[in-house]
Amino acid sequence: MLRFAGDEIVRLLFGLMGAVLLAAALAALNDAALASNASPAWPFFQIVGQHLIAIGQGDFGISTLSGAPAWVTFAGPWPTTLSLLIMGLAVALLVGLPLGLAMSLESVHRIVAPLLQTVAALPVFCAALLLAFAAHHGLGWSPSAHPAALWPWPHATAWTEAVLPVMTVGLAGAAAILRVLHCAIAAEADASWPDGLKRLGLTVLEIHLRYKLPRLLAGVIAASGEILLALLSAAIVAEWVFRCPGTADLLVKAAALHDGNLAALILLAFLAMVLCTQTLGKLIGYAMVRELALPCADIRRDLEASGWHFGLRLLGWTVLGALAVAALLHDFLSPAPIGAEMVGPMFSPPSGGFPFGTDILGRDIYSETLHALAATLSWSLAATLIAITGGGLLGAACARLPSAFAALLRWTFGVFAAVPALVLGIVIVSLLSRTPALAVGLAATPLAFVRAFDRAEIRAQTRHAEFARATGLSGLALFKRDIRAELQSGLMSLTARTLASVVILLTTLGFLGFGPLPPWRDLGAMIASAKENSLTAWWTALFPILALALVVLSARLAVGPDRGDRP
Amino acid sequence: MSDPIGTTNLLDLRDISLRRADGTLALDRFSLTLAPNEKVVVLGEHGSGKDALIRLLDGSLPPDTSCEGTVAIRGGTPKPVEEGWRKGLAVSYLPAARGLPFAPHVSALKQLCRVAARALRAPVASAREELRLVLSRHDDAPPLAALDAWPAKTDPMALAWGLMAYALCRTPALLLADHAFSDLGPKAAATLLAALGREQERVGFALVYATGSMQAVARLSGRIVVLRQGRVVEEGTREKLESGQAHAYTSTLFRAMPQLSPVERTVRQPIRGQPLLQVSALVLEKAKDENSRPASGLTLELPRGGAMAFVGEEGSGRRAMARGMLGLDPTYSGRVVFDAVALDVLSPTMRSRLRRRIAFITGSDEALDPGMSITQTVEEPLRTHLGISGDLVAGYREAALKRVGLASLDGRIKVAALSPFDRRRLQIARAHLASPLLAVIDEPLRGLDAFAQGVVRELLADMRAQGDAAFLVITADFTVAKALASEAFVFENQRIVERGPMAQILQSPKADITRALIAAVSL
Repeated sequence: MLRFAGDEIVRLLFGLMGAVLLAAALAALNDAALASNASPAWPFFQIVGQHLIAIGQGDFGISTLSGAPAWVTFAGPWPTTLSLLIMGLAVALLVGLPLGLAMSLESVHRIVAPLLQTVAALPVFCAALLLAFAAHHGLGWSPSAHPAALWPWPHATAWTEAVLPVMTVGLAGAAAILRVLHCAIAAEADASWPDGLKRLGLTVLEIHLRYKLPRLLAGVIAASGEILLALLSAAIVAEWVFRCPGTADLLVKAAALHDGNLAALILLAFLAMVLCTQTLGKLIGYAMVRELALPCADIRRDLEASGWHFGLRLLGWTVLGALAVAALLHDFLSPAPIGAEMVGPMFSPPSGGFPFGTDILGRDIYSETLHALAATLSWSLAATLIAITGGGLLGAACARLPSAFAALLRWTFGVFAAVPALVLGIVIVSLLSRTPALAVGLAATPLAFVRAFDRAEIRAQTRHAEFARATGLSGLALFKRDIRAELQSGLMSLTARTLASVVILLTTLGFLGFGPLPPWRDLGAMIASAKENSLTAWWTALFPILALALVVLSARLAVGPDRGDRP
Repeated sequence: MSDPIGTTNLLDLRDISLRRADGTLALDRFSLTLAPNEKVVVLGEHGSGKDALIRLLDGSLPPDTSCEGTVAIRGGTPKPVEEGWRKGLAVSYLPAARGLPFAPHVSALKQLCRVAARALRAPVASAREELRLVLSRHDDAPPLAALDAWPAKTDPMALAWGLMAYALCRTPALLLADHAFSDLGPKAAATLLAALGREQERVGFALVYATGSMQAVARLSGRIVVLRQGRVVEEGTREKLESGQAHAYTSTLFRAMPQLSPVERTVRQPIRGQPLLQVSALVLEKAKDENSRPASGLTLELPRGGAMAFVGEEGSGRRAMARGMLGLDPTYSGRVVFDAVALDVLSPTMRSRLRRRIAFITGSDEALDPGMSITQTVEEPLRTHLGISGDLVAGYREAALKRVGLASLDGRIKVAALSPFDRRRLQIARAHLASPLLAVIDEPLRGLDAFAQGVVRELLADMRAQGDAAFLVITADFTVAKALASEAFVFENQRIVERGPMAQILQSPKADITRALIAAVSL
């Protein structure tokens, strides 16, 4: 235990140092980007050094967004975001834990697992918009939230405004908890000890309460960093959708307006929070069961073999194939070209002439959805290939490098993986590249790297790997085994699995305004432009949301409803 | 009207048929009569129906299993076998310790006390006392504290004692031993079987012992029921089944009975000249503490094509010594020369390259990558070490698989889907293809049933007789050591207590542990 704790604390310290360096580099990159427009840039490393020294002295510079010190600009809305995160976590635990723990019962798991796929298929911003729509029409609630509704809490007059953002964050957190639990349950699926204890006379309930649940809870606690990442991403979206000016909302604005000092400070705060939570969670989880669940558990072989689940996979591939064909033929299938305005009257509801209706500029939603689908799918596929090769393949390969070098790489990528992929995507788009496929691919790479690396590490500790080394099998042969294990469910399945998460990331970036340049729009950007009128002209948002949900759902079904993976 | 006490059958199963969810029959019109203090050994190979029978008797049949037939308890009216048929019959279940029937993150002792408390309907403290009482009746039983560790870290023999104490503490009318001591070494199994026999005589419970190995058959003098594909092939005493009139299948099983004096084979003579392995004054890293350090390190020579055995129980230090010799674990002092190269002067990478000429065949089912197919597993050494490709590989592969009897299987089947017997044969095929200079054979028969043990023993003996590899055998079973090696080193408590030619050690053993190990396999 002490050795494990020591390793984790060293890793945390390395991570925190990496976080400071990353923040300094981000501020320096921003300076360099601004300087290149006005005057010749300083040597980059000199700027990074200056920022590092300043951060060391507690000076985060001036925020160009507010004109005040970055620290003051950050501290203002921070309690709002913190409050949103805490309340969201409470909702996530209330919803996710009971449902997830009930899922550990075999009969419930068979039903809940496919349902989980359906819920996870909906990106957070779509869920937020649907919630806003339902609350506005059902309860007459305002679709925006005043920050006072969240902090100081409770605010007697505006509590209804807190419900929607909290629910959005909470449901995203619950989905993350369910994914983690699904993974932990799948990892235990082949264990024979529950049957052994049952045959020795314990009841199923007693085995669950006394022995299984602590293991599952330990798995959730150990993955608390991952849950926090989901909560942070959801907070960014929730603050944006419900116009609730918190820190996450501030980050989006800072990135859009190139306020490097403020963006660096927020990034540092997020990173420190995630890294500390990760370490604490792992230590508590390890103390509970003296082992940690696999970063990505095996599949439920018994269920995969069943005909019903095979049928679902087939359905997933069929729908995905049909969507891909529609995307390929988007120019032929759509009556209007990309971005063609005033094709019909403004806000025309769905009719024979315009099956999906028209938007505020008189654009045909049907044509626009097809074009956006094509853009989303093609960029996502390219980003998926970047994430698989640059992340998964590289991660598995790096795990076979000499231990010191491998650990250094793992820790370095670990720092990037502790940044929510959405934040990383925002930073890359605003500072490095506006190409959606490259930005999203790079944003998804660190997590894929870390997962593949950890899986390879776990495999290296197995008995068969030990025997392989004992018979002098080379690192290359062991790497081949790793790749074979990574592709155990097939390259297509791996692609579909990565595609599902990449589509969500890409469209969320598009929704937040970090998408491609006009006239191209992905589905996220299309939904964003429909957001203002979504409460009245519902069709402008609904059809792109449906198309997006269909893409993600079919990709996840194609992977298999019982994979214990985490997107 | 019931029979007088002592003549009434405890259990009378009639025409029991169990059908699995996939429609196959696990038991086919199976009948069994059991007297109150009778011992019945149910013998059969993997998939013969033993597990289904034990599950029927301990009430843990899968819910999708359909069941027909009748059962009568203590001479009562025969009733259909249905939910709750065991009411009024105190049944104890004794599983295999290596199966680890406990949650991995809680002390084995705590879990044992919990299940005992549940069985006795008593507080945990009382259950713990009951377990202690059972263990205290046996001089060779470990103290209860030996079980106070995570199941994976607990000595399997101590765990087996603990499980037996649990099974006995509730004073059962029927005890179901499910391959209880099959995975332990012969000496440990003999000790536990003797203790079980004593308890059976003392308490007078009926015992159903399901096993695939012949040791329980030899040690438990009771009725033997031979099962195959869900049907009773034959039943009777050991003497009857050993006679020439037995069913052919039964005879096959009995021929697999481990013997210290089997038919003599022509053993290949070692090649003269430079030895393959030279070890001088080797002391292991963990023995660097002066108190535990042996007076002198290990010194030995293994000629090319020769064979030696490290014999000892689990934890005796035989495997650690072998690992140290092969450069897998660090050593404190000494020198090892393998194939004329001193291992201590080599870098880890070069040492790893040298180990390409070593093959392992072990009793661990985890030695092969479960995600690889049969073809990939067999071909891997050829492709990675020798760089052979294409048709040549296919030819060698087919020959190796044919040699071990796996050629008829689809090569795309994953290792995870194979039975322990098939995995063991696959290890032999892979080792054979690697053309090793040294084959390390580590408890090769562990976990196999009698038939499979016989086949694996034959395959290894053939490999020894026809191949070029020297053999280093690690085992607790002198019959395996004798069949595969000509020189023996006997280990106890991390030390070598006896060494010499195999024949001499078997004829006149000097150390107590050697005598005990030989006695354990003298069936």
